[in-house]
Amino acid sequence: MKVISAIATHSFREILGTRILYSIIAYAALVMLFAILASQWTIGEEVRFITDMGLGAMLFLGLVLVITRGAVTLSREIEKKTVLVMLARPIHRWQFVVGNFLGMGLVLLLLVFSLLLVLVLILLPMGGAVSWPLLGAAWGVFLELLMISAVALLASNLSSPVLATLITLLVFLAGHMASNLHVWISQAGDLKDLHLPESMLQVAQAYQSGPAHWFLQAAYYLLPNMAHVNFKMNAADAISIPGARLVAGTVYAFVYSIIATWISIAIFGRRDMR
Amino acid sequence: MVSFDSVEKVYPGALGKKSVRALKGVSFSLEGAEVVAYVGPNGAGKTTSLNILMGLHAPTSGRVLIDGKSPQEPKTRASIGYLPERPYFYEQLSAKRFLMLCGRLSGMDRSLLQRRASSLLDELGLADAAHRKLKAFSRGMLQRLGMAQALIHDPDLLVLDEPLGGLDPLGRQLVRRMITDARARGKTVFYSSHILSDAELIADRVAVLAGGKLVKLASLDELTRSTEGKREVSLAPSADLSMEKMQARWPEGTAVGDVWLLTVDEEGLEQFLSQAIADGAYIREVRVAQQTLEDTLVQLIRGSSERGGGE
Repeated sequence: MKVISAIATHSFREILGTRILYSIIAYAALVMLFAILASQWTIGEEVRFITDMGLGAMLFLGLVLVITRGAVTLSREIEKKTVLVMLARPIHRWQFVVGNFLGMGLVLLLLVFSLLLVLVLILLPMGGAVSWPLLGAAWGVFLELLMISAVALLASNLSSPVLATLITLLVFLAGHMASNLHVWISQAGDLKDLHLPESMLQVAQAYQSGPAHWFLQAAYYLLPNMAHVNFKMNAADAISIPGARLVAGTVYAFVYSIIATWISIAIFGRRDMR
Repeated sequence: MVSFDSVEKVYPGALGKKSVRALKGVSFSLEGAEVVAYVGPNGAGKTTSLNILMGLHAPTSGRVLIDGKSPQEPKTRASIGYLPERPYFYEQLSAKRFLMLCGRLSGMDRSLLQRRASSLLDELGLADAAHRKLKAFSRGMLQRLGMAQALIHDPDLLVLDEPLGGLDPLGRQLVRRMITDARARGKTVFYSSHILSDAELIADRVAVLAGGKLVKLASLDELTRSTEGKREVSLAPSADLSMEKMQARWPEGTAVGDVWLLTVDEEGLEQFLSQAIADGAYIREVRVAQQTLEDTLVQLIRGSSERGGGE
């Protein structure tokens, strides 16, 4: 445990040391300012609007951090050979991967907490409140970032920094469409009821069976389904998040992150460190 | 303490490229307090050997053991200090903090670590830069810090990849002294180098690697003693005997400027000179052969590639 905490602390400091976090916090404050200005045009809906904008910005900035840091973590360590000095110590490789992942997770937690604080500070004078849906939605943003960070770690293990960044971005976007994918492949019988144009109907029907169907099915289960942890609308509309949904989303995000990290460990454990 | 047993390493070629056989059945052992220099031309497989010794690469076949245990086991590495070639460390850390991180990962007690880090930084002339970020360090300073991190946990075995590279004369002297001090304290030092003059100053034994094969592992005395009773003869070409003809006549020689240089046994010298004169060569100079480690290394590597070792 001492080893993991030493690596996680080091990784946490490394990410903070790049000053990305500071610029992100400053940028977040700016976004909040924009939100205030924009809310002038949404009479009576200011709190809703700022909450929605704020949570969206939180996710976006977290994603920027994951892509610029998380997606290059391992590949950069290998490329710059800093990994050699670390792995020559009496540590297991899995401890190195887990330590790095936890370091990133801690930074994301700090980021989400800081941005939430900024958001609340802006919302309070405008009649907003620190509500459970808002806290739950921020937690959901953190979980979403945690999953994408595990994907980034895996991608950085498999490819160059540029490719890893691209893969992470694509998985993030696809993860937001995973629910639609499920609808697409599971509601075969209902397609006709959608009154789609003939050409689209033919394409859609092609995905109802055979290899294309299996490919989409596999993609659905492999991609992180961000809908499970997306509570932003609840926060914006001040609708409480059912406890069961929050727990299920949390469990889903943690299990997904653990599996992705475990695959990273399996790959990293076998490779030659050149 | 350290044993390489028929170690082979093949790197598979990516995307249709040929695979590379970096090590071809390397076997040797290191024992007790000694400094062993691992020398050879670029691409000989020195860094690959050291990476396998550190558990960073897995051998394709054969095995490496340290005190009977595999270096891939983390516990085995607790007694090894490692300096990679051209070390590059975390830019955002200060030298002191970096050493503290290395020590913590080696399981050191915090107060001991503080003392050891300060003393090593002082010894390596980095005390003034202890709190400076590593991104501001020069190549030589990073190299010295690399030595400090390798020594931080007082390991029994030091594995150093080009430890004298990138250092100024003072830095080289400092690192050489640290290596000999480690030997005096009963440690084994195994280091790779291109700088043979340093090996002549500090190594007890020299391992020569060429084309992935261990060509020779012998004491420094043994490698330089072989020149006793030999003479170096410089032959100049004449109208009857051109340089090309001399090369064909005595292929074991070397062209140095406009002369053909040969090493001849003292007993056969008279007969050789008579024959050379009869063939039409001018005898430019005859002197006692001074074989350096570099001469021996060149001969060994040439011999190895002629036998197919450098494929």
